[in-house]
Amino acid sequence: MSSGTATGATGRSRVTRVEEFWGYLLISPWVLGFLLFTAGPMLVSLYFSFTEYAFPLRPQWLGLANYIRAFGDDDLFGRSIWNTFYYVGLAVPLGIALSLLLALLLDRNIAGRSVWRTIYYMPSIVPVVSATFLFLYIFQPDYGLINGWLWKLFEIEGPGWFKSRVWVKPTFIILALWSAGGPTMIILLAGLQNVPDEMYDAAKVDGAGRWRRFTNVTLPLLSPTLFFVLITGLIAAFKIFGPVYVSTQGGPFYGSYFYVLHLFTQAFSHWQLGYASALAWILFVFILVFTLIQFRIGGSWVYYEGETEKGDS
Amino acid sequence: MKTSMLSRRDFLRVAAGTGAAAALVACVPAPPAAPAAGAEMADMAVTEVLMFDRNVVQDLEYRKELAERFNAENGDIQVAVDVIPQGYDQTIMARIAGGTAGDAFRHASHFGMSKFTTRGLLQELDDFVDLDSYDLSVYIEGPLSSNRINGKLYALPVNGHAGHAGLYFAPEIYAEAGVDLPTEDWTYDDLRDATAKLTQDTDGDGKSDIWGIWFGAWYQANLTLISAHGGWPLNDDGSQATWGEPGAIAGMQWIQDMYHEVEALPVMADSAAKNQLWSSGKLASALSGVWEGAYLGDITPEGLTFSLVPGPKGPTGIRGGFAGCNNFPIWSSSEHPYETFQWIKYLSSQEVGVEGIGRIGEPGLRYDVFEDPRVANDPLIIPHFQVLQDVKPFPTPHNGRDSEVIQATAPLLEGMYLNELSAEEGCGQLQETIQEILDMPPVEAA
Repeated sequence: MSSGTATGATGRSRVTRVEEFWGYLLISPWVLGFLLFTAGPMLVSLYFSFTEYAFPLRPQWLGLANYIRAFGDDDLFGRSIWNTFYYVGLAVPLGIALSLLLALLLDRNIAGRSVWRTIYYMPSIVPVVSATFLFLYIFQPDYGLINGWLWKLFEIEGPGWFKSRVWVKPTFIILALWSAGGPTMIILLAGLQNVPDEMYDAAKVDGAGRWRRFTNVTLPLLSPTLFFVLITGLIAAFKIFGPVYVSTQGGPFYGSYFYVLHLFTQAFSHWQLGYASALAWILFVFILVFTLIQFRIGGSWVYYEGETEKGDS
Repeated sequence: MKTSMLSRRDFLRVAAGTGAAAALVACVPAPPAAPAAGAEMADMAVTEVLMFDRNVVQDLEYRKELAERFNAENGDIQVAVDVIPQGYDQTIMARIAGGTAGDAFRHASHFGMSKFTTRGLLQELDDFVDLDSYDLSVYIEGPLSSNRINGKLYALPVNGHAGHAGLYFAPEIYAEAGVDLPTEDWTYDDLRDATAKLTQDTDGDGKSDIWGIWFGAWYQANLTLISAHGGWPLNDDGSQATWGEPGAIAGMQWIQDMYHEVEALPVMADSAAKNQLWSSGKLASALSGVWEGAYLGDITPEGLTFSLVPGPKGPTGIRGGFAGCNNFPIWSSSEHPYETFQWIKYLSSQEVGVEGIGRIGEPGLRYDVFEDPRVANDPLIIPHFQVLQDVKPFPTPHNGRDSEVIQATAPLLEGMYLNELSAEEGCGQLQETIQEILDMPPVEAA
């Protein structure tokens, strides 16, 4: 190869190298930020998880004791796991179903569609603290709006909602559903608008009714979007904290004692940062495993356009 | 032409190295600022004290004003009051870890002192008290004792209260219901009977819309009711749980009865619910603390007024409560603990204690504050003083595990509020749970 050309022995031109340099330089603020404020603290917390760290005293090496304590000697760990799984198991599918329903409705050619979309989106921009306080008043068992209506209209004694160990988790699920018209609905709406009209036309020609068109056209073509909102929804639901912290603080009687609240309490009330770090890593592994399971299962129901089955070609 | 290549791997190495170096640099405390050139010798002798306060506007403004007054009177000690805008507890701990927590900070005895003392974070004050021959007998005993952990003094009582120890009531609602007004001789039985009559369904829809009373559904609020019935959560040295004793069970039984038999208040109604009910004229009485007086004045609706008597007496003849005490402990890491102590003494002085009633709603916790002519006839303050003289310090676990105790207590109290546990079962479970925490090793500095 001629030494006079700009291409070096590695096959990269000078222009490419300059572009690489600028590329790296431009992403370096993010990379540095990631290393300093995400990766670094994560690695440090991994170390802390193997220590007794009664902040701000020096951490002392404990080995696996924190992890053994979590699974063997911490009643609240089990309670918080159960509460969190209950919440995730209901809030995520119900939330996606409601978001999908709203997206389907708002995808139709109805009068004032933009206005309706804005109205349904609005609850999601209300800060979570404000929304939670609003719900505390609406669902107050003795003089709140909901129980007042139940009594006045049907003479039904309403439940205790946030003040009931049994009802507190469903109440938080209702709170989560309140903002179903938010980003999840928008993503699903975008997914719906990507479904080609020709597919519906072809299905109609084949005699498919509304339900068949929904199940055989809409859902398969929307499945990658549904898969995305499922994964992100699961991750967010596992980390439920804000509404609980500002309202029930895990009560009543442990009814809403979710996992991240347990973690937070260990870290910032008891200042046991070693144990809290172990809890954080356990949550990380939980979420990772759940996500991997979803990816594995997803292969059987998520359809990517243009994808062909083995042997088709 | 040979040119050096920057591979992805090299780039990541450099970035990681730079990041680590930057982290190390960030962790090194900034060097103290050099004195200004040409500073006078007199300036060099000035000691600067930094105190952190909570972001409560009226408190903060008052404290800053006090610092200005103190600074004017004490040329050699200059106090600066700084605020932690939010996340106070977390920030103050992060600051102590980073060596930037200043000399003193706002705290309260009922937020738990021992988690700091067992970690060796607070300055003991006994030597300074001796050095200045400072007379501690001016302080009311309960509040003063609240600042002692294992016999050592860690703070002075600045201002505070006797817990939820006053019975506020709206006389008009009592009169409307034909119920005699509360007096300072009332017992908890009298209160129960009166609130049963006061709780009414005025619109005939089958649901109560005027409630007889409100009291707090949380640990600190319940201490008043439990102690009035002769109970208390911990023994004197904080090493043994005493929830299983008859007084504690009787106190919790009274609470449970008020919720589920008398139905004189909404179950687990919080402070916001109390404010809502009171401001709409639907609440006849509230068992609450000295801070409530100023607040109720603002939210009492037109046509109603309010009065105050000391909380009722329990079967043991005592009214119950606990010494809740705002304080400003000095960090053991302070470079000027003695000078900071001078400032804390100023904050705890009689004049500031009297003035604090009007400025921040809570009196100083000294006898001479309540004997002062400006306070001695104050109908919203003196009833609390009647209780304050007899109350115990806030219960402190001997091993520094305050927050574990409070956190473990709350859910079991809720189980009793909701009637899912009987008072006996709930107190039995509390006895077992809290004792387990008290048996844990202390959190101690190595």
